[in-house]
Amino acid sequence: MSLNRRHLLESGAKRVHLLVGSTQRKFWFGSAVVATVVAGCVDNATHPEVQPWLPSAGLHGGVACVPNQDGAIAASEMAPILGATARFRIAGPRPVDLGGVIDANGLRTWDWSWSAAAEPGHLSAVRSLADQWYAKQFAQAGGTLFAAPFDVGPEFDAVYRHDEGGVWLLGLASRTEHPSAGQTLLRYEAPVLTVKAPLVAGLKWSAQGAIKNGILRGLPYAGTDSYDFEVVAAGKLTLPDLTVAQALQLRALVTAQSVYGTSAARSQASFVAECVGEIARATAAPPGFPQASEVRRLAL
Amino acid sequence: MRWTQAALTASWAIAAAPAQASDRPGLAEAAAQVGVEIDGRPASAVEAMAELRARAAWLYNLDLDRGVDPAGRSIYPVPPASPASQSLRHGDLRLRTDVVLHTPRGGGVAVVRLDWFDGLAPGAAPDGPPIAAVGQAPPVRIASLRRAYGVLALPFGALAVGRMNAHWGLGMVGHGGDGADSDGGDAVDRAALVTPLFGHLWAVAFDWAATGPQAPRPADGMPIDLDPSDDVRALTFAVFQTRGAPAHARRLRAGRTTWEYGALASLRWQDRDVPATWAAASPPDALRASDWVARDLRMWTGDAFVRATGPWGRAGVELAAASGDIGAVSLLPGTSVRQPIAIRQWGAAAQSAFDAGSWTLGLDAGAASGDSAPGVAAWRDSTAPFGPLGVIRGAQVDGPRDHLLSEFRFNPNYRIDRILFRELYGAVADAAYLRPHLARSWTPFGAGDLRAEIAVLASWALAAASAPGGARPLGIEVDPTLTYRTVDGTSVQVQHALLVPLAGLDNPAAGLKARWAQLWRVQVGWAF
Repeated sequence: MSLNRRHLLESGAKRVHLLVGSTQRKFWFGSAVVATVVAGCVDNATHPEVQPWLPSAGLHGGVACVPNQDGAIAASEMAPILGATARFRIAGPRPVDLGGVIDANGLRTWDWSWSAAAEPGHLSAVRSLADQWYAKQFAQAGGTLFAAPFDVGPEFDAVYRHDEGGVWLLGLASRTEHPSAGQTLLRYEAPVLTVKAPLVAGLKWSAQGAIKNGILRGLPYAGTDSYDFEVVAAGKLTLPDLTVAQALQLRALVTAQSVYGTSAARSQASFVAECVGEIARATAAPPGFPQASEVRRLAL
Repeated sequence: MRWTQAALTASWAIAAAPAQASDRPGLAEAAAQVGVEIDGRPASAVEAMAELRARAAWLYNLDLDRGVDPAGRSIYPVPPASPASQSLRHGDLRLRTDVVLHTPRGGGVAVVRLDWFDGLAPGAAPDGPPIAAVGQAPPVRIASLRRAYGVLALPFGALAVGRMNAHWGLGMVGHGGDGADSDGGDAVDRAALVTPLFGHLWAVAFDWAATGPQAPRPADGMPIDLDPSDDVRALTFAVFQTRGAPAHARRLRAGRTTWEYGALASLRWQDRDVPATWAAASPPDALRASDWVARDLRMWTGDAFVRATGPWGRAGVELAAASGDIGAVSLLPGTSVRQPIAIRQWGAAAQSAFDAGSWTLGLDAGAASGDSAPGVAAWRDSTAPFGPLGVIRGAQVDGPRDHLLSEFRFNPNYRIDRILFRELYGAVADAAYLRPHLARSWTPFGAGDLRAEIAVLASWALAAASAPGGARPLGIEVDPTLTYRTVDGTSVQVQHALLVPLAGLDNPAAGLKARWAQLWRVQVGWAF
């Protein structure tokens, strides 16, 4: 078939021809060209509400925080990245080594690199408080307000504020407004400083969080939580997927005393690092460590 | 991994001028590749060439009406304020200049390529409030330096130093961007030595791909590389046999087939890195020793091509493979990832075009390795995370679960289509394709020649899980072209593309089937 002659190539009802040059020869292109002319009047069927392509959407976000490894975790190195998700491996009851060993260079190292193959994974996301049902209950000026899972279960969120003083715990809430187990909404009268900035080895502080008119699983609750914090050591922590050269071990002893006379205590040892945040945590019920009731380790 | 065919051939030509008497690569042929005459005393000390290009394009439904992927992104921008609209537009202007300087006796050449106001979009910079603007503000960047290198003859070969063209073979891996529709182009900072031996060109080249943070010298403010351990370097050995355009033309007139071929092996390495200078959302106030992190990159690359050109048409094949390791992948100082990344990649491309009078018929094919990692590499966002199934762009490794980087990526300027790989994927990656094409030429046609061409591209993902639709067939694309080129160096080209997406571009998570897209582009060129 020669293109010097008229060719009829049909696809649907329309045809296209082009007149080119002084020879006035007609060229007919294929059905694809015909189809394109028919095409122009179909509306966009899937318009997204948010486009990462827009200049303000931060398509090229980059690394928001770069550790300076100065031995102290500054407030800016504790800033939450809203929307970020971290993966943890969760181990059941097991003994943990919180003392570590001192290597030939005098550096303390903790080897928490036992295999995580059999441990279930848990995704922990940092979410903006504004998007949660309990946002109005915790609204306050200043800092960055955010929510994160309280534990590996699906029931509770912890509500935090980050500012130049560190990370503050504002309270606890059920993740959904009307869970089957009953709503939970526990708001501290005054925020509890859970990570003090700058965080350095040897730092100690205490705090109390009073709860009035709270709701725990649909029932009234009031009480006081007492916290004792201490950064007991700095060193290198090895996990199955990661090695962190400068980690701080933050110990916390929490005692919850309700107005009804019941009390509960829990020990926690967390490893935190600049810009990464919490990279490992062991929790123990009385009599405390070395036997942990649960261990979570950051994983890739 | 990339090489400088034209520059090295020119270098060789200086050292081997007598060879031009034979039919082997010689001075005149090589010189023609950079548009200069270096056969003895040059006719002119300065030569200049220029190309002006203006393009306008209309893009229709390039998001394929497939909604957003699991990461919440459409695969292409859509008009944000016009939900029903399907159309996007593009236009740009570029002036490309090549200036060639000769030493008085022709023993040395310097080449400078500048792209002036590259990517200048019409109306993008009004000189006032849009409603009242009467002109355009000048572009912030007037010119982009693409090449600046010199070649000099030595008794044992030719030495080329500077930022030079990195085209190699068919352009699958290294593409100089010399095509009329190409953008940018590869140029590397390199020192290369080329010498003739056994009728071939033998070359060794040392590249500085990255030199890390620089600081001004106290005395004169000139930059100094702060730490050589963070440099990314490459060492390449190559042997090749190529010919310049005049030799091609001469052999074609004689009815002979011209064979060209080459092979290279390259090692690229980096010991340490400073991600704070390139991966941080905001640059640090000051660099500390702790900002240097281990990288431990070692990557071997091999590439070979063969190409034949004759009165019957042309055909060529290029094969490439890369293997190596990234020993330390973390971007955070003080945090190291214990699992290294292994690099195992391969790519292949073949081209053919057979002439029969005014008709040309051919078949192109290619494949670029990949695996089941969702999508293809996010080439403009190096910190993009590993995406869930259904994304079109994302990281191609995922910690200990997937530490094999197997996605091979063709050079973006190795263009085989106009929508799927050029616009949506960014380049051929993790896919295979077949591309039959048919063309008809009319010569002479007025004051020039006219060429009509149609190509049909069928493509498949190599792994179904990597395609956003979770199926291997990606699409059928029809690309007709009409080109009118005058003997005076001007040209007008009308391009069209129609992409009919297949299951691999659907959005099964949202229950949406991808719908077809199209593109029209008009390109006008002036060669001076």
